[in-house]
Amino acid sequence: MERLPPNNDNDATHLSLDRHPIQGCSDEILQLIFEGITFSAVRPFSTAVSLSHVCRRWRSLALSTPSLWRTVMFKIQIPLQDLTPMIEAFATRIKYVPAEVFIDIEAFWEPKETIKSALAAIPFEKIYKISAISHLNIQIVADSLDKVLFSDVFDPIIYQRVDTFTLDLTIDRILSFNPFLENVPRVENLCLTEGRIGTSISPKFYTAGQKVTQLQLDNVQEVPLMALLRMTPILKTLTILRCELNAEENADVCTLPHLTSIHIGSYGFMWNKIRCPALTHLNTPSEHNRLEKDCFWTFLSSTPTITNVCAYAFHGPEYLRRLLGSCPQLLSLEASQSSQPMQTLTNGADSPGEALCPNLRKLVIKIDRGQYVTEEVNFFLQARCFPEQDSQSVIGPRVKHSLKDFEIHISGRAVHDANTSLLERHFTLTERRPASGWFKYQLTSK
Amino acid sequence: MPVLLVTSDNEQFRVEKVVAQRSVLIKNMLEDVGESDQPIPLPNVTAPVLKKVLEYCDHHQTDPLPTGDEPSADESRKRTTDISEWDQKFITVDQEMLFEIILAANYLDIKPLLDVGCKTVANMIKGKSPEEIRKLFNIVNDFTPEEEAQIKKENEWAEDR
Repeated sequence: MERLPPNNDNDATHLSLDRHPIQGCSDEILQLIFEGITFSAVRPFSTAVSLSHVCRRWRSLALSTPSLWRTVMFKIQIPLQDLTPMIEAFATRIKYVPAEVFIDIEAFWEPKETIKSALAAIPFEKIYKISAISHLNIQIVADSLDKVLFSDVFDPIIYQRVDTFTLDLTIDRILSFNPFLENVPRVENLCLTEGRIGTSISPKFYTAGQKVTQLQLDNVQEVPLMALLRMTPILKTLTILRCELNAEENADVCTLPHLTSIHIGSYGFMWNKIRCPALTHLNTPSEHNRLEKDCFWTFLSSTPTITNVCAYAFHGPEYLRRLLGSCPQLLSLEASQSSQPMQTLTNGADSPGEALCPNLRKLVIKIDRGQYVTEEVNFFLQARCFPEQDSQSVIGPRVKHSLKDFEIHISGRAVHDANTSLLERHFTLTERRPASGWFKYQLTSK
Repeated sequence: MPVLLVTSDNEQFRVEKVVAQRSVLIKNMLEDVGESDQPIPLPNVTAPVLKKVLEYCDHHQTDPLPTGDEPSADESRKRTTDISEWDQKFITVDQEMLFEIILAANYLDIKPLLDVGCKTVANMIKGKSPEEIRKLFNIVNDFTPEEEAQIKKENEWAEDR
């Protein structure tokens, strides 16, 4: 770019000092700024309300921008406050933009009758009258809701109005989810926390189960998992954490043709009873005693579609080495420093054809004590990140598939280590997130 | 072939076509007039601002141009206020220049730059109360007493939503 000398002395127009330049922005630009604020806000609705309380121009603009109001959370606590003014304001402002509605019901330690009258006071019909609901998320934390109360919450009209429906239930550990599940005619994302299911799952869940694409169970007791999986044939994401799984040794093998992501962190998961021909993302189990079992490794080697592995839970290089050997087609690996991923990946990389996971494109490593791995980083960069050179130091004809997308999460105490300068010498730092307590370096080869 | 751009304060910039064409306005102009060595007037942009804008275009000259055909990509872009390291350094300017860059990006139709500018302002506003926002931008509270009463009512139900 070449800047040529000016051909007259005209001054640029300067903004008056007492008028802030934001006031010179058009409505369209201000709307873009407003969208940037609300779309990424934790509480989008109250953020939009705040913007509408700044001045008359901002209020008029905010109220006439429906997209700012599309995510709303109705927090229903006891004693119940009157939600009518909020629902009316929401319905007026959202206009015809598809809305995301979060209904959060917290009713722990309340007498059943109090909960019943509180739920009866909620004007659900007004919420559902909004023209379109792109996503409805109902979260219920309760200890004494019975199925009658539960069906009061679910006005049948919602099932015709919403595109996707998330049901997030947390109940007391002694309660069964079965009476709840049999009253849900449709759900896409199902998240169950605590509570129990029992020896079998209610057959009435069969219809709703046909639509479930995401299933997450956390700390649930007595889970007849194989039966549940058979009722959810289009499942795409499965997460089972800290659950007590029923022994179903006699269960038939279940094929989940659409499952792409699996995260199992519970004892007794029968890896030998499932087939996942479309699985791409695997979050590995954490305890060593589970990794000793052959069925997990057999599952791995019989699922050649896995391309992304998250192995933060591996605390020994032997498991990571075995995993890399079982998934040669891996494109992305996330691992902790304790499993020595760089050292493992460097081994056998002297000749391009012999490198473990030659197609690996992305590596994310969590490092909390950077000073111990400086040499390792250096070897790794040479072995896996730089194109091979021949004896004349020009790029040779057999260029390695070098790792281009490389992220390192470094803890606050390790960030000033020699690793940082070593990496920055070879790569461009593109992202830094100190707020999380970890420094994330996403490095792109220079 | 270089392109000659003339700012509102009559300064001339000679830039590579590939850099100038990051601006959809200039790209369309060049397509409309065909091969020409005529200067392109930019009456809404001053020289210091154009210099900054061209610095951005030069750095991003090889980025794929947004097509506008992918609403989902547009949506996910809007849902994050993350700005890349280079862009963050680039946009670390005084507030007057920041808004001049936003206005210029809007006029020249450089969507990614407009995005960076708007996200920067959004990050400045995020988490602030109406009073803090007024203070930040020197905005006068011009609500009538009736409107103030309405706002007070709204505050009763709008918290934590």
